[in-house]
Amino acid sequence: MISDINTVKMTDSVSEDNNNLCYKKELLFKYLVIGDYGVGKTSIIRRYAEDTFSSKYKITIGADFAIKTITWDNYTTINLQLWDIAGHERFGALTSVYYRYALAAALVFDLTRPETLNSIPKWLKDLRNRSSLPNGQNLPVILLANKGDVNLDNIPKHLDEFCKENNILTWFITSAKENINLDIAMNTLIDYTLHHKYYKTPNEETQPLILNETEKPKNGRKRFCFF
Amino acid sequence: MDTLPTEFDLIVVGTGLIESAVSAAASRIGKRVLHIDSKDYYGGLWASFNLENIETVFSKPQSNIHNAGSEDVQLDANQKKLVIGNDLFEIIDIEQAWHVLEKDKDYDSSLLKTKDVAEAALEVSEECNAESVDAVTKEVPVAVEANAESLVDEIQAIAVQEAIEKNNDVDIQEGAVAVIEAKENAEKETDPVLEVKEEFNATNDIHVEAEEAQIVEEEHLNNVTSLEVSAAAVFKPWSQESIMKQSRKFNLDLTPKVQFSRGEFVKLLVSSNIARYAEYIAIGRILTYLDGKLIPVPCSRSNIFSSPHVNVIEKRVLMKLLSTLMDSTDKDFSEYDGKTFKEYLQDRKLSPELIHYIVYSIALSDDETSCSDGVKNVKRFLASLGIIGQTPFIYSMYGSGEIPQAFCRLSAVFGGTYALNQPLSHFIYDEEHNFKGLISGQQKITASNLVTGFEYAPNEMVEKKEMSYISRGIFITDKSVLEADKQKTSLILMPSKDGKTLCHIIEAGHWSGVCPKDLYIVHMSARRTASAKEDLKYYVDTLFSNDPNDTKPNVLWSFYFAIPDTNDKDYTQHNSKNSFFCPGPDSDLDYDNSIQKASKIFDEIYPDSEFLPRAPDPDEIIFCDDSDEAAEEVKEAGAGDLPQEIEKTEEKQDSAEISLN
Repeated sequence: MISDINTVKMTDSVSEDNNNLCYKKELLFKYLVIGDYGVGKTSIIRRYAEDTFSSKYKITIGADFAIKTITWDNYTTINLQLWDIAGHERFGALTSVYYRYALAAALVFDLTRPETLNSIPKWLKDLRNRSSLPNGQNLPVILLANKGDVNLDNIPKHLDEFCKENNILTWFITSAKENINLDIAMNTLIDYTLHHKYYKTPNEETQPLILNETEKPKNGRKRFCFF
Repeated sequence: MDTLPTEFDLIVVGTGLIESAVSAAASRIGKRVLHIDSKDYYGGLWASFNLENIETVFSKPQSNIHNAGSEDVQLDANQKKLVIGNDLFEIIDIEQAWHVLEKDKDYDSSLLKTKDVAEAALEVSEECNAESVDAVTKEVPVAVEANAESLVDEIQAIAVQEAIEKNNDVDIQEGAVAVIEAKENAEKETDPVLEVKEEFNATNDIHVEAEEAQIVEEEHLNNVTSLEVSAAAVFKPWSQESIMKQSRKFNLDLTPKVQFSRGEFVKLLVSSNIARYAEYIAIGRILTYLDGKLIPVPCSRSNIFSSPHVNVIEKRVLMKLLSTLMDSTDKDFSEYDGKTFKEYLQDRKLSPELIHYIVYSIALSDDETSCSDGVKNVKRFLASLGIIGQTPFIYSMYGSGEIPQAFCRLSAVFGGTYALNQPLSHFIYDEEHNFKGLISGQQKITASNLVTGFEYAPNEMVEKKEMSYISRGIFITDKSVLEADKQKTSLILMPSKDGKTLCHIIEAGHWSGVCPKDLYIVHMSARRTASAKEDLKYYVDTLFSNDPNDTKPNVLWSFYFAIPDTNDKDYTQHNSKNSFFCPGPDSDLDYDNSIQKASKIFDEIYPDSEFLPRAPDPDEIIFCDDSDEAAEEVKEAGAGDLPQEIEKTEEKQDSAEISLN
C-alpha cells in the first residue's frame, strides 16, 4: 500500500461532458513531518488529518502515517500521507523507508523550547542527504513554529534569514491545539507539488513487486500439477 | 541531542538482519527496546552503501570501540566492565580499484597531455599481457570506427606496453612485428618511447612527464589519421567523474541476498505485515556456465518447453525427474545415504547437461552436496516456482540493505528507541555472568537482556577458533553478462572449475534501484580459500573482459573484501543466560536460515510470545484522545493484541493468508 506512491499514476477517468473530455485525477502524495521529540508532530498530524487534538500523545505507536483526502478542485483529489517519525527514531536515525518517495517535508520546532529550532539544520541535513525528488532536486520544505497558542512572546527574529539560508520555502506559526495555520501551511506544499508536477515518476518501466494480497497464484491453479 | 533513557527490557546492539528482527519482534509485543549501533548507518554487515560511502565508510578500518568518558561511570561492587568488540571478527582483503579514467575530459583527445592520462594508460598497460595486446591491436580498425576517442587511450596503452615489452625483450623487431601499426612509430620514435619506459622502470613510479606523454599521444594521433577515421565519438566512455556524479543512485550490498518467493522469510514478511516496507523485483532468469557459454537454466515449466538448450527427450526426462523429486519422501533415497546428489542423478542416466542444470542451479548444490540435501534444495526451489516470474527468486528493490531497515522501522513504529552513531565502550556483567547493562559515552544503560551482533562480542566471550570467511566482489560493469531483449535481474550460479564450490552471482540493473541507467552491478560471493580477489579470479575472467569491443562486459570499478562467516560454527563461549549473540551474514543464497536464528533467540528470551504477529495497517488504528486511559491504551498497545485494532484486521488477515496458499 505504501509503495503505491512509487507508481503514482493519475487514475484518469474519462467522461464525456458536453463533448469535452473531462479528466479526474486522484493523486497520492507522501509528506514528512520531522522535528525533535515533543515538538508536536503527532498533534499536528492528528489535528490536520482528523481534526482532533490531545495533549496525551506520548509516543507514536503502531502507526506509520495518517491519510487525509483533500478535494483540491473539481478535477483533483489528493490523498495526502503524513509520515510521522516513529516514536523513538529520535536520535538521528531515520530509516530509508521513511524517506523513500516523499515529495515534501514540514520541519517542526517548539516555540516554548527554542533549542528545538537548533536541531532543525541537523534534521534538514539528513533529509537533504537521504532524499530527493524524482527529478533529483531537493524536497520542498516548510518550517512550522508550533505551540503558537502557548507562546508568542519570543518568536525568533531571524526566521526569514534562517529559511533563506537553509533553502526553506517559508515558515508559519502554528498551533495544533487551536488549529492555527495548519491548512495554509500544508496547502503551500501541495501547491508547490502540484505546480512542479513532481508526482510524476519519470521512470515508469520500474514496477516493483509488492508482496501482498496481489500475490495470488494465477487462476487458482494447483501449483505443480504440471510436474 | 537528548540523552538516552537508561532503563530497558532489551538492549539490541548492532542493526544487522538478525538483531533487527529480534528488535522488531520484542517491540511488537510491547517490550521496551533500545536498539543501538556504533555505526551511523543501518544494517551493519547487511547494509547497502552508495558509491561514495562504500569508499569512505566501509574501506576504513572498522572500529566499534570508544572509550571516552567510560571511566566516569560508576558500577556496583560486584560488577565488571567488558570492552565491546573482539579481535576475531575482522573484515579482510579489502581492495578497491577504478578501471576507467578519472575525468570526462580525459577522454577528449585534445586534452590527452594530462598526467592523468599517462598514468591511466600505464595502469591499463600493466594489466594487459602480451597476448591481449596482440588481440587488441588487430581490432584497431574496428575500434576506431566504433569509438575514436577511446581508441586513443587504447593505442597509447598498447604503445607503452610495447615499450615495456621491448625493454624486457631485447629484440625490438620481434616485439614490433606483432603490432604493425605501432611498428612504424616505434622505429621512428624509439628513443622517446624508451625514455618513458626507462623512467618507469628506474623510479618504479607511474608518473610520466607531460612532454613524454605528449610524444606518445602524437604518434597515436598520427595513427588515427592514418586510418582515416572520423573523430566523432559514437559513445561517451564512462569516467570516474561521471560515475561518481551519480553516486547516490548506487545501492551496493555488503551481503547481497535473493529470497525464495515462498520461503520462510517471505512468508514471515507477509504474515507480519513487514512486507509493506519492502519492494521487490523478480529474478528474471537463472544463468549457468556450461561449455564455455552462459546459458539460461530451464527451470519453470514454460522455460523447459521453450529452452533451445535441452532436446525433446531431455525435456521429458527433466520434467519426470522433477516431478519424482517433488513427490518423494526421505525413504526413497535411503540407499543414497552418504552419497552425493550428483551420484544419484548419474545413476538415473541423465545427460551431463541435465545433471549440470539440476545440480548447480535447481539444487543450488556442488559436487559434494549430499543426496538428501540436494533433494531438499530441489523441493524448496520448486515450491517457490510459478509465483512470481520465471524463477523462484525475488530481490529486494534498492538493495539488500533495505531488509534490516524494514525490521527497524517496524520496531521504531512500535516504540523501539533507536540510536545510531553511539560511543559504545563496555558491557557490564555481574559475577554470575549476568548481563546488567552497557556504557555508551558517559551513560550507563541497563536492561534485562542483551542481543548483540557477533562483531560486538567482548573478547572474554569469544572462542579463539580459526574463522571462515566469505569472499566477496562488487563490480560496476557497462553491460549485462548476457544481453536479453528485456531487462532481467539475473542470478548466475557458477560452479568452480573443479565443481567443489558454487559461486553465487547476482547481476542487477537500474530498474532494481541499485545503480544508474546504463550500468550494471554484479555481486559475487564464494567460500574463501585464498583471498577474495584470487578466489573470484576465475569467475571475473570468465564473465568480464578488458576489451571494450568484446561482447562481454567491462569492469569499470571493482571492490573486493572478505567477511567472516559466523554462521556454521558457534564462535562464542560464555555462561551468560541473558546474552544472545547473533551470527553475521552467511553464505546462503537467502535469509531463511537467518530468520530462523532470530526466531530462536526471540523464543529463548520470550518463550510465551508469538514471533512477529501481524502489525496493523495505519488505517486500522484508532487514536484515542482526550482521556488518560485512552492514551495509556495507546501506550500499552504493543502488549499482546492491539486493543484498538478494529474488526477489519481480521478480514485483512484472511486476505493476507490467501496470498500464501
